[in-house]
Amino acid sequence: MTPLVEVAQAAKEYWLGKVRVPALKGVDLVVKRGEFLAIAGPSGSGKTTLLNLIGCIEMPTSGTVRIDQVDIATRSSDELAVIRAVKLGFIFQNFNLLPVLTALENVEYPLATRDISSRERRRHAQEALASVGLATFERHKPLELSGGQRQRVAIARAIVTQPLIILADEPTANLDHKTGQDILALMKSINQQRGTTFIFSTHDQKVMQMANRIVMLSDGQLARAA
Amino acid sequence: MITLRLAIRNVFRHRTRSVITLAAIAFGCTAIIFVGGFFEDILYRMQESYIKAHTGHLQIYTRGFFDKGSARPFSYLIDHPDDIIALVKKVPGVVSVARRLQFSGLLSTGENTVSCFGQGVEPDYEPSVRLTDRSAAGRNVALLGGAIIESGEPLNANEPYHIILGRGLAKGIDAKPGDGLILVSHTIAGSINAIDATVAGIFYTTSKAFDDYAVRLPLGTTQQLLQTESVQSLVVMLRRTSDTDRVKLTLRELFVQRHLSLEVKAWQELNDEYGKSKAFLWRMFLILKAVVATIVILSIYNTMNMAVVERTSEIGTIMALGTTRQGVWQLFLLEGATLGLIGGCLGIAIGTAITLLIRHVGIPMPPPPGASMSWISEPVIVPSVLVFSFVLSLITSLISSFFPAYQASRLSVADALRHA
Ligand SMILES: Nc1ncnc2c1ncn2[C@@H]1O[C@H](COP(=O)(O)OP(=O)(O)OP(=O)(O)O)[C@@H](O)[C@H]1O
Ligand SMILES: [Mg+2]
Repeated sequence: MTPLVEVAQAAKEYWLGKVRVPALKGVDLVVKRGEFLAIAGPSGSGKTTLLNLIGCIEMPTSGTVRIDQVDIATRSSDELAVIRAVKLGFIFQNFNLLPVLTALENVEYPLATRDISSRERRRHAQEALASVGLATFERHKPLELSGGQRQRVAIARAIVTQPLIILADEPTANLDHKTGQDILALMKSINQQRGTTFIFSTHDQKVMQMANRIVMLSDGQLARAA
Repeated sequence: MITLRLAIRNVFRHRTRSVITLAAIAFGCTAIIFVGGFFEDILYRMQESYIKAHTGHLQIYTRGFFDKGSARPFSYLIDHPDDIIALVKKVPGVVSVARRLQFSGLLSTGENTVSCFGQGVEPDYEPSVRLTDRSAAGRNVALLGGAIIESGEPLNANEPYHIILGRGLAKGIDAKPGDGLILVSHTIAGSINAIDATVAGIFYTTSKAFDDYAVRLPLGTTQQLLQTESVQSLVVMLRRTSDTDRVKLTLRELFVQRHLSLEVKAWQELNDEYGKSKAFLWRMFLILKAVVATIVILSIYNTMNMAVVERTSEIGTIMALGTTRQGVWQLFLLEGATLGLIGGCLGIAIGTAITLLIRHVGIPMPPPPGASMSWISEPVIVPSVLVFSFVLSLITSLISSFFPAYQASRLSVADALRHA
């Protein structure tokens, strides 16, 4: 089976004025369909940067990133937007729900450009929200939900498009320990039931242990594969 | 659909800020609607008062009079006006056709003699109003009714030797109603003639220059003084001023068909002041529109710019979720358009309400240039100005959201997401 994600010698540099900041220094990573992969590493090690490359949000300075066999460097920003909309789902540390929309509308948002009836859109969103256990919170605005509930809404928003890969950058960092583990357990059950590939970053040892595989980043390089 | 919902809700996210922006738009629209209605009213009064007191809607002369008549007025007389009057009266929209004969002469009290401009008119067709006679048409009758009789009586068809004097002229020779005067003029053959006349009343119009020289007297008496059966001009009054151009064309065609050597002039051509005032007022209005547009553009720009800065991480989020740059651009344009739409609607409602209120109260106005009477303006609602102010608020809101929306769509997704 061909790998879903192939990162080969990927490097990423930023410029702070005239100072070169190497965030990633030649990373090789292959992720197969159905994996539940953790990226661990200290702050500033490049976790977010690596996830952004895989998420087609940033381009590598050198090296290649292939998502479902597509070299992302060869695609325009609109084509990348389509890849993100169709193949990828995102979960963020700060939940990043749109505050003016209700929970249901937030989950519906990624379907906005899909060529399906609004009723069908609504039904998909309701199903996704129900599958994270928030069927009764459809009309709540994000500010009326707890952190854990917000992250569940974000998970529903990520799965509603049935993506191949869900990328989660420190999904539990803003949650207490218990809630964080519940969120991870929810992600894991989605991974097992639907076969969706998950790649998430974390500092948290306990959270890390729930992964099938952990890769360690340190100073922009993969330290070892466990 | 969700984009529209998002745009509308984002507009109402910052109540105070949106209310202030909407107030700026609505205020701008109100200014335009009010000033447009005010200027329209000024021009309308100017137009109507001049038509009633001076020119009528149309004037008919022997061909050549308009260009050369001032040097040789009696070379361009209309000899048999009755057939022409009958012809003109048949044209739909025509209310009356009055004959006029004008001359320059001398007016003497015995002690004082001054030169004057005589106008022989048909009293029944030349409107005049007594200043005391306000009940008929409300407080602004003075402005629309034609010559205003300040003291004494108007002309009377049954009193051939009763004349009325312009206010300035009467003052110059110290004449009052009831005084006897001698009116002297050349006959059209060139000899001198005079009549004894009694001052029936003193009048004034919107034109001070006219009031300083004018004497009005019955046409028959004028013909007797000038020793002629002819008249100089036919003054046509119409039911509606808006019919002027149509009737003018009809008359022209009619005269050509009948081989009549006549020319027709409309009130705009006879009233140079009106055209200039109109150009002047519309120029000022244009400046106001430009000022309003600038204020609206700046205030919406400010609002939209703040929205883009504040919502940077949201923009990053929706782009990560697959919204294209164009989609982001559309979202912010839509937000701007929503502001413009709501602001425009509010502006029309508030502008109309305020204009109608001011119309009800009335604005006391000083005399217009060259005139001697103060008056009360009652601004009107001009439909085209309503449409204009609405379109203006929509277009300016789109223009001013254009750049912030563009900036939003150009954000780097990664940077936007890292934005706290
Ligand atoms: N836009 C940027 N401009 C300059 N330097 C950047 C930029 N983004 C990231 N960096 C730098 O790149 C390096 C990697 O950052 P990254 O955010 O990937 O680390 P991280 O592992 O996610 O850290 P944390 O655990 O704190 O989130 C850091 O040194 C960071 O300062
Ligand atoms: Mg990070």
